[in-house]
Amino acid sequence: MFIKQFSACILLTLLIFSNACTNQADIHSTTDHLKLSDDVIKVMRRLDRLVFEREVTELELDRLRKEGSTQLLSNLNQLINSLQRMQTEPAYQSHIAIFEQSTDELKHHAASIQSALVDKDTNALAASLARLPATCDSCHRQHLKDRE
Amino acid sequence: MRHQLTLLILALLINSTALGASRDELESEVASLNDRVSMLEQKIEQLLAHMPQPEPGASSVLLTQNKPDPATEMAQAPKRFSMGGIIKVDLIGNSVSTGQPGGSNYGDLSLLPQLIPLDNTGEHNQTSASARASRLWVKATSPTSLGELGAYLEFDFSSNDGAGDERATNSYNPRLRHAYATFRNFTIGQTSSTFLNTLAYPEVNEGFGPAGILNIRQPLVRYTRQQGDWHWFLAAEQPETVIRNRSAERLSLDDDRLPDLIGRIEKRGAFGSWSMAALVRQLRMDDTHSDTARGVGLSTSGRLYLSNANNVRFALTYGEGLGRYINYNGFDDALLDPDNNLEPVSAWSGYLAYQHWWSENWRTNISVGYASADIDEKLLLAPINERYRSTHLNLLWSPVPDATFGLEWAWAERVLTDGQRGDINKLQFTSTYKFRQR
Repeated sequence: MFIKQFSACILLTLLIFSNACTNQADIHSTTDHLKLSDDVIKVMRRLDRLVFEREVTELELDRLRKEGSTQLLSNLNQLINSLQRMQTEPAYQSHIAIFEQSTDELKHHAASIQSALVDKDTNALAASLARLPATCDSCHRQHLKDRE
Repeated sequence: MRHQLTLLILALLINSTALGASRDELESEVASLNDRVSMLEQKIEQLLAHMPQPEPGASSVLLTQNKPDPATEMAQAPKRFSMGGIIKVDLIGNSVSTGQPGGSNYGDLSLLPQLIPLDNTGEHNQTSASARASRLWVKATSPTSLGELGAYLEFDFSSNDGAGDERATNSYNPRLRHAYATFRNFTIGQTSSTFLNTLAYPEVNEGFGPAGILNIRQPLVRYTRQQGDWHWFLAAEQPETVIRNRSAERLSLDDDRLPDLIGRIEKRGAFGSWSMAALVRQLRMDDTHSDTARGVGLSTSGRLYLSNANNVRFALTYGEGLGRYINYNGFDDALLDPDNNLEPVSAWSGYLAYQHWWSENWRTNISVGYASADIDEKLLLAPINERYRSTHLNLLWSPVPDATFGLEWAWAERVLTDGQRGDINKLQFTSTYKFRQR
């Protein structure tokens, strides 16, 4: 009897711990994703607002856009990694399809930004950056819809 | 090559025969293919004839490793050329008039603290409108095997010399703002001085910015280096000594020999940007009496981001003999002592500005500025400007990124060495539209 009770306690404890650990991991990856998304938004917002600079020359603005885009690319790659980590976690298995699609789209955007930076093509860079928010919005909306 | 093609044709023949094609059809196909091969060979020969010939004895590998002729490379390199500008229209109301009669109204359109009327004298409550702060720029970049070449040219119409007037056509002369080229780490030409940091400029409708701002454009040669987030600048820039003689007349002497030397470091990152600059210059006069003196200056400036891209911008400058760098030559570089030697003027200046975004389209900028010079009154027979203060507050709306409309209130004051003072209130509505050809 005691052994059965002890075993049940151990099993229950393990279950609680495993559940807690899973939640911790989920929370961790969600926090990570939120922070990285916030970093991407910050850089994009600054890039968007460069158009309001009045004393910086256009040639200098190109350089600032390049620096900002390089930073954005680094943040974007971290964001893609975080999304890929989230796909392996049990809590997100119901959203796996939209996560995979968004990851692919983000990879495509990252490749376009990289290519525009290498080619020093500011127009292509602007076009690549302009497509980025739609992917993020689409995934977040779908995720919220699925949760409801 | 021909043997390989013949074998290929034979193989096709055998294959086709196996498929039951008639002999005449096959012969016709072979003849047609032979014609096409001959045509292709001719085209290859024509192309080869236009390629540079190798030196006798050089292998084909060496030919491919030869560097392209720079002139050919320049001609063939894909150049990116674009042009654009800003249509800026200002409607301005001034509590006191700083402008001169005659219709040019330059003083009323710009807020130069050194022009503020003293003791509330002069005309009051006048309005002016102008589009002369509109700009036009062209930009070109060309990649080369040695690095990218860039060129930039920018004009506005704010020239005070030979300006038109408001009576009939409001036509104004173009004024050169920037004309420079960049190649690898070098910038050569006329642009904003290395001593200042344009990223730290407050966003104000009024063109000259707050009191205490450094704003100077001049010819320069600048070397730039980037190491991670750190940017290093070293520049030799146009010298020009501005002095005030005993009877308080300002003189731009054009007697300089050595360029102004400027070094600056700047760190850029997620926090924003921070910069520190140092200036060393020789002040020189060579009139009836010759003398030289040293001018030095230090300046720190930056833009620090807070949440939601709200940001603080600042600059603080101190030095001796750097008067022409502050507020568009707001002070003199040097006075003349009783022996007619140069006596550098110490000055300090600074401003603090905050930009707040109410939404994606609406924002407010507030800035306060101050500049002061330590002037020995005993060296002058008449009072001159000793300090300036200003405050700017605006509300700007950008319904689309390229268009901005905004209302701004500005107050500024100047004080002379004998205590005389004058101040001005300025209300300015500005509409800007940025355009560019991509």
